[in-house]
Amino acid sequence: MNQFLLIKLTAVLTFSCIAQSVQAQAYCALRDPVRQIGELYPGFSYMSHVGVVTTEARKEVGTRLPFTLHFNELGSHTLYAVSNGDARVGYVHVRPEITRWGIMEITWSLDADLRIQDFAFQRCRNRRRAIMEGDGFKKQLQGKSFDELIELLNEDGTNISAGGLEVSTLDHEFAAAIVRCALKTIAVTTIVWRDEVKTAMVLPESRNLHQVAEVYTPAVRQALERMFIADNADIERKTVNVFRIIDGSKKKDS
Amino acid sequence: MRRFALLLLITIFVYDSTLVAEDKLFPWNKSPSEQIDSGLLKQIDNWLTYGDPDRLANHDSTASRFRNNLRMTVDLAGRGIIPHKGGNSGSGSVAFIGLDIHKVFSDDNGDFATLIAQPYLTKLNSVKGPHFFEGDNDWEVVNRIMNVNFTRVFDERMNIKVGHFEVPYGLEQPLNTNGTLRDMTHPRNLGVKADWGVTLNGTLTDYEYEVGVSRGTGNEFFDSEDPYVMAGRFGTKHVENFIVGVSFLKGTIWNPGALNAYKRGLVDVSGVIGNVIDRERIGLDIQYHFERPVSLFAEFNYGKDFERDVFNTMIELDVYNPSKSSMWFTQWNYYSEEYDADLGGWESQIDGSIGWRWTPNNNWALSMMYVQEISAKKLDDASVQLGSKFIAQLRYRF
Repeated sequence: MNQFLLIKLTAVLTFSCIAQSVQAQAYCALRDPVRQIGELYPGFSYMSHVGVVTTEARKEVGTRLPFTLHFNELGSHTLYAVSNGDARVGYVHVRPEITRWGIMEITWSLDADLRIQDFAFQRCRNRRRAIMEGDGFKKQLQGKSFDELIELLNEDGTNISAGGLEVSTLDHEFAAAIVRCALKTIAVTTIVWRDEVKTAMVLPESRNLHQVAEVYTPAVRQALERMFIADNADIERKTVNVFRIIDGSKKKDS
Repeated sequence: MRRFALLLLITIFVYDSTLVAEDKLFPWNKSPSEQIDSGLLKQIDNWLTYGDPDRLANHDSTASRFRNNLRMTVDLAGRGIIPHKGGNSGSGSVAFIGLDIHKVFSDDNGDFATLIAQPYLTKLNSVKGPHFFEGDNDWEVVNRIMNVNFTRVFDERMNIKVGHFEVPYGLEQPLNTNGTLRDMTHPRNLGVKADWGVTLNGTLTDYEYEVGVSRGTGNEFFDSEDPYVMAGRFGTKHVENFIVGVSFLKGTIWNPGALNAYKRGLVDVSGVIGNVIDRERIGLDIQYHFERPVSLFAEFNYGKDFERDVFNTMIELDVYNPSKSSMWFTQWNYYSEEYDADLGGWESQIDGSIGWRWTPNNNWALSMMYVQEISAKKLDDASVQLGSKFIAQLRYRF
């Protein structure tokens, strides 16, 4: 009888593993990324939103990306919503990525439309981290949406795509891991905190962003000349990016 | 015995009432298909994680407010210990069942406080525990960590923590080893691991700090003999691969075991009465994380027990696999103090340990550790026997 009970208890324990909603470490070891929030959004207030990354969420991430979350990434996680007064300005989320240098943890800062604003390493053993923390690399990720980031990786996400990022060949693997982490962060935020983030989005949720290759077309230059600002040196025109927004929720004839 | 009888009665009452209930609580009263959908632990797990959906539908309800930003986990662990000394072996065990709660309080202006509560029912079976256990087979409710950190009194540069917290000193402060076999120097170097009181803590641009004043009694709060602890640690920021911290401690700590160990080094113990030991420590701790998943930790402590000089050191090397699901570690401790000259002057004790921790998923953790005494403090020319122990722990969180 005792053996029978033991077998049943073992079965119940095994079933309960399926939920995977906890974290292996005790909660006293949790650290909020308060320094990074203070550095990324100085003077702004933030509010925690604890969400559960389930096995279903893991599967959904797998449908959007050629890779998915590691099982240790499941469980309760926090999205920090950053506000300036009443206005939601963005989010902060910490996500790990397994690399051959061990687990790398990155604090990501996203804008209200879940584009990359900035990032900081919370844990990274790679000695070349300072290069990736420099403006040269960061500027290549800043402002990028999910669709633009995925184009920076090769088909299976193991390396950066040809011409995708300007980094030393020594850093290809490292850069790819950072981009994978960024993609997972946006995907997880969209899936787990869907209700929380969609209310603050400026752009439609089902949009497609396409970067316009040529910003200063002859027609635009003519228009600027008519307004006598064609030679205005106050604007650094090389840094101006223009995007075409295609709202997938609208019908073609509407 | 009376406590055991009470527990047994409550268990029988709860169990019997579920037998007649329409919705059977225990899984062995259900068919296999019912168990898959609604086993007891599955139900508990779902409730701990998501709460009752009907109650949570109302965002202004107490349940909703309680559930908002809450992490709550049941933590079960069993620890087996096999000591060996002088040709004699024994065995003992410790069982833990506890709740691990983490709750962030927020209002319209953002987060303003974080609660951590970890009450653990701890049962010893033929094992010598800390001083707050009344015997080798006692059980106690151990308050591992139980505090509220007020995070919006100023900004991230200064928070105020109130409650039961790890004494902010040395490597334990940034690492937190609660509930694991691996331990830092707090129990033997300070004589108190967690205590009741208040700390100021925060993160500056390049530094972190925590400074506290506490009761000096450890798990329980009482004022007999008026113990106290003042302690603090200042360290470089934890996000770097090379981290340095300096710590201090001053206090009179309620710890009869530590006081008895102190008396061993005295020729005349008649002047030492009570249960508190007067301690001062200053410490230096270092962490270095190599490029591959290997980490080195070291802690150096100098201070006094009453008027006696003390020097304690710990060095640890950790090796992980890339996903950190396996960790191997070796730790070496050196404890020394200056006995009365007639008893031999400076005496030291060295022990080394090797250990392994395996966390295959977020629920399970299996740990093993072997500790060997290399040398022991001895009185005058007395011979000493060196001991060893093997410890294994299985932990399940859901």
